[in-house]
Amino acid sequence: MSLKRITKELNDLGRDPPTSCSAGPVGDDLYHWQASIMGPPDSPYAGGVFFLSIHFPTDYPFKPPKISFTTKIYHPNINANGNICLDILKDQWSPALTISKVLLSICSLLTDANPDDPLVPEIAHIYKTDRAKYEATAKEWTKKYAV
Amino acid sequence: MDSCPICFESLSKGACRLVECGHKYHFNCIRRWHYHSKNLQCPTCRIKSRHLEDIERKVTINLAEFSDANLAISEISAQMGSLEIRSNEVRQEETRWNLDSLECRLCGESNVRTNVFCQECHTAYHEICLRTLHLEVGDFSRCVACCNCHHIFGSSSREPPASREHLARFLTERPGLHAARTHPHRSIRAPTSDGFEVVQSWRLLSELQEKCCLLDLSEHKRKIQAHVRKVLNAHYSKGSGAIATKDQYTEINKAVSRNLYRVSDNKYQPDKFDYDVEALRLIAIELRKTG
Repeated sequence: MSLKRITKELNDLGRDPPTSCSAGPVGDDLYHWQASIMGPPDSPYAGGVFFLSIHFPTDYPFKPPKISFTTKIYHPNINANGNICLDILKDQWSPALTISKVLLSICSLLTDANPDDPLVPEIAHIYKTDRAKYEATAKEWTKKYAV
Repeated sequence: MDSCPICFESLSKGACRLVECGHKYHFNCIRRWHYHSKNLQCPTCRIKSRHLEDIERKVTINLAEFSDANLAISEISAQMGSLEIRSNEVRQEETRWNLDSLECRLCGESNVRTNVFCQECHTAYHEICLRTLHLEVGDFSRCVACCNCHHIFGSSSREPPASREHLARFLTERPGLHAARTHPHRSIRAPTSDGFEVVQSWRLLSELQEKCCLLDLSEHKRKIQAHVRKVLNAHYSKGSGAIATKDQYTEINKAVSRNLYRVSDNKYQPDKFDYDVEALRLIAIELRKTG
């Protein structure tokens, strides 16, 4: 079932691509995709393009895809390895979700971080106590790694 | 045509509906998801669902009581999980097999296919078992209700009617028959076309009752005879010497038992008669005769 569904998602992405994201397979392996997200305009990531790698499990869509940033990013819910702390990629996964929907969720995570459930507590602390410093660092990292 | 939100394929075949929220999926897809998620949330709206209506087979499965009906979630889903490589037809066949092998709630048998299925509480019955029970409790209405949740099957039952052969075979094969205590023909109104093959069922049921009457009779006699034997054995073991041969024993047993059947009107009535005392008295009379 998984391969059929992944193919269908790929076709849907080609037919109706979401604004600000794109995704597609790396080479011939349909279970390994690469995606890109444009930094949301109302965030310190504006102007940057962030790449992500997507690995589909063989029992997709019953298990969530593994998604991580390959571009370095300064964010309380994304760590140095690019791992993302997002509920729908873990226990809140639903087989009715698609890569397109997940990428949109990641976009909104970039706009609205969730410092109460951080993956990087140091960044979460700065986000909560010194928002200006957080935004400056995030902008700096975006310029350095994502432009 | 809608597509399944899980596999994105058309829902033209094998579709089912979560009753609480109305979202549709393939039966196999949603059951696999239930197995993976270990909760019963709808993938689309996250509402917890308790009932799943199989649109094709017109069966509603109570997900919460799934295990009660011998359809443990893990079992069926594990099967489905390993069936990925097989064709859809095979998978559906296996699912159907699970539904067909349900035990009758009343007689516990699953050899003969249960043909009444309560959609409310997921309980299976043999039609004849249900009807017999209704007669036993003195309910002569044409409607039949589920013994578990009291859902009325009546004419709304979408299960196919049982064939005569099916019922006949079932009647002869079923062990431990329960006799209906009332005459079935007395209060039965003419059946309408929408129900089961009611007439057939009733006719078979009356045949069954006659059979049971005979069974009952021998049951009464057996109980009376037990008393006679007990008293006779006690007498014999005391070594009173009066009973000499095995033939004599049998003769006395027969005569006394026959006498007791007659005086108690072929019914075992231990509240009316003290069979031990009666037997002892009659044995003494018989002994005097032979002696």
